Amino acid sequence: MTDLDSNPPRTQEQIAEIGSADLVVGILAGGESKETNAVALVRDSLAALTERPKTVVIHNNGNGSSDELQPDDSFVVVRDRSFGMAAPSVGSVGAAYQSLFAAAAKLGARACCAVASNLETVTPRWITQLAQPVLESNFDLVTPCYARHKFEGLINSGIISPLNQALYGRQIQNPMGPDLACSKRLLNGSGTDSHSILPLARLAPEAIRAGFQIAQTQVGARLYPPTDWVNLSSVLAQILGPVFLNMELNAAFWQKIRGSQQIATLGGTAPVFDETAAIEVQRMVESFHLGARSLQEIWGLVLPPATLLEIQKLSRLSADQFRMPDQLWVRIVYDFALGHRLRSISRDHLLRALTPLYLGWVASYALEMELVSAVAVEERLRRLSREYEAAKPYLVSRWRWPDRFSP
Amino acid sequence: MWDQAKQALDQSMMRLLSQSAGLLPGFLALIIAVVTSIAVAWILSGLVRWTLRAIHFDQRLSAWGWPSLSEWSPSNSPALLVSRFVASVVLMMGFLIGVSALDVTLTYDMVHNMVEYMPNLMGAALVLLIGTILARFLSRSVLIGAVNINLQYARLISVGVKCMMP
Repeated sequence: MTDLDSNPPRTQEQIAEIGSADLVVGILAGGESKETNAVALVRDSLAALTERPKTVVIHNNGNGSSDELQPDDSFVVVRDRSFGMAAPSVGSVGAAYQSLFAAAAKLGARACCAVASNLETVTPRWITQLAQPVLESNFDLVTPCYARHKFEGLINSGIISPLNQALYGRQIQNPMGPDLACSKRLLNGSGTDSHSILPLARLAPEAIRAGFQIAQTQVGARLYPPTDWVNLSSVLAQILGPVFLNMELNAAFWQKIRGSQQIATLGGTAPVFDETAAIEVQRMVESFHLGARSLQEIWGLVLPPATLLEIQKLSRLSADQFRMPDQLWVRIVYDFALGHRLRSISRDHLLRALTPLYLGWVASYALEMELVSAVAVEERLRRLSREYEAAKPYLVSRWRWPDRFSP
Repeated sequence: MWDQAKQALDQSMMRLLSQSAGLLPGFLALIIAVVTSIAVAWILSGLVRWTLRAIHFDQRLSAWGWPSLSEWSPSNSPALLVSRFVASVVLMMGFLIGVSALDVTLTYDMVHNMVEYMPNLMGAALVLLIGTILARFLSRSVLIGAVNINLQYARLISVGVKCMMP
């Protein structure tokens, strides 16, 4: 049932001693300073709630600061570095969430709120906005809407969010958080046969499948970590692996869904920033060209000949003319998801081999969006989502008849 | 003198006929062995082909790093190649069994040498198979990793890794 076994015995004992809680808030990220004391943030966020819930803060910072607020019976702080997303013992982002969800399940918390964004931009309102709908309005999953940055969070904007929308029929801007809140019944996987703790990638699909109430809430601007170009393939593999695996588990469900619906959006509309930050398009196009020259044999195991031909045509374009059509990008994502299911090659190789293609899409998107307004960015991403939905019959056909259907 | 010549001819003919008659059971055994082996080879190859297709052997082989095997397999099907190999082995064994019925000493040595050499052959084939799979896996890892960190000579490095494998 729980995944707390990997946490230090002291943490397990502490959680057992606490016994129960209404709200568990996990501080999984770094960026804490005197001005952004995480425990104070959580305490301040509770002031806006109608009733004060018994709260347990699970904090990845092992050392309490000297000016820390004194805990009482209804507000307990558990400090354990293994809840940190960058902790070497954890190994992956998913493990930090699993430990948090397991702790919340063990405490029987009505709501569990994960704060995984850099604390520099997190305000008490974030936590209130996420936890309140679960505690007071019976929502089972509350995901965040961040103020949109043109060139930030593109794995989510280009793959996760539109793929999730096309598959499961709900327009969720950030289905995998990283900041989110969920209910006890969703955490316990009551929508599934197995009563195990759901991993992060399965929360939104499972909530949709089980007919639970989902909302997204406007939390504000998020400070994105700088893109780690050297480890981009590892990041892609770590994020997309569970998403593709989930597609396999829910295949019977998503194949029946057509179109998509909006979900309840709380806290107004997310603004978009008109950024002027430069993005290394030349480097990305070069990566794409190198991939097209070197990875043809590997891509050939996953992609159909027509797609390979399109990629070859693209690789002959110079950086300023480079544009990857949405239709091509969407089919690439779908074919990689299918390749993951069929184990056409080692799954780790497959996910890492997507990197040059992803960089190609990012370069194309950046060139297209360089000079456009914030509103146009929103429209551009909606167009991409529609393309994912339009190409869904292609995915369904290939998923059902991978050998027969290969245009 | 004519009688002696006629007698010599008769004896020679009798000797030839008796020797030929002595070979007949051997020939018959050869024919039976070959016919039986054809039947066994047909059944066995059908069974192997059916089993390999049931487990999607052709697709799995590509996944294991042998995509080029399909190109030189009959009808682009490695499963067909394996089933035909099995049939050929059965036919060869049948033929050897049949031939051994003709001349015991000659064919016994031949069969004995072949059977004695078989474990070495199988061991070598196994080492080759594992080595090739490992080399392909490692070279693929290196190729993808090198492309992802923008090394222009990624392909060269991956070929080098493949060649270094024993």
